[in-house]
Amino acid sequence: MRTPRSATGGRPRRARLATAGVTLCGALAYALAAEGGGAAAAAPPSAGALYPALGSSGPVGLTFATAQQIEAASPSRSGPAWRSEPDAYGAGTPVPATIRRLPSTDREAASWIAESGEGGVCVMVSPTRRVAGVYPVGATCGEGQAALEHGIELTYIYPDSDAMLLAGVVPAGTSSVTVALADGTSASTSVSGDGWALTATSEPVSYTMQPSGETVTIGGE
Amino acid sequence: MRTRVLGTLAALLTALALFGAASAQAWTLWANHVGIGSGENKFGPFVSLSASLVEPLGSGIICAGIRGVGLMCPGKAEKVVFNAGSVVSSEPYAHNHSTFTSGFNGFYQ
Repeated sequence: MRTPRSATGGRPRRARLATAGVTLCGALAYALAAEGGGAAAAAPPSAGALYPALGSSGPVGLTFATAQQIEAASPSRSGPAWRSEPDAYGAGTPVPATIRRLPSTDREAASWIAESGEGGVCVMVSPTRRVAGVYPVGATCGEGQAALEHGIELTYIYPDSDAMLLAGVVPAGTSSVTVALADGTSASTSVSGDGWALTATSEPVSYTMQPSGETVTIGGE
Repeated sequence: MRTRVLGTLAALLTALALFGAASAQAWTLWANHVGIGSGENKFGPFVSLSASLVEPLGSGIICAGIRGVGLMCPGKAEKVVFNAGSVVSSEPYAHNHSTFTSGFNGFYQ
């Protein structure tokens, strides 16, 4: 059986096309790697690497309860409570086993850090006094590299006054956070163990911090 | 015969226990793709609930609350959970903290 050859009598056309394709792919891959400065090869830091508080130990200060326990009893009447089932609140919410208490920077607020089920980082906040007979606990999580590198914020607004609790988590190396408030003033607080919290009487508009030495402002747009 | 009856009874009890657990953990959707103006509140039904959850649709910052217990607002357009930790009789609600109209899904359990 004869093998078809090109008019010039070289290698088979199919083989030459395959070689050209491989060369083109190699050149494209090289160009893309050069464009990215090789950064694509480096894995982004994990939540645990950016937030050492996730590896801390000590009392969590939160009662973990099943749905049945919450329905049958009143765990939140003696302190803040959170559902113990891993999937109780759905995707993108704190994984109970990863919840860690943050050092308090405001006596009115208790706050926690956790990993989300999707690899992100979460902040949780609760007032240290009962409100309407219970201790409300809120949680929000941020997914993706931007959220991990800039942190997450959460505000609890009391139902019976203008007071509110502002809390957040920021990556290691961030020393303070400044919050611009809706009344035109601003409030600053130091960061302790990746967390911060403060009390205000006006809603937050934006948050400014310096993770990794670079000034980052979130919100305000 | 006795073994079969006991087996059926055990299966029935297991099913009831699983059903109870599932119903206690389930979220009830009260706002499905609802638009909400800047600074506006949207209230759900008056029910017995222990938690409220909202997820934003778009870039608006939507807060989750329980009327009379408070409101939790994220710093960005992210899902937020408001957990009372006990069953209360009230209304779940959402608040648009952004300067523009946005949308959300709202749940309670």
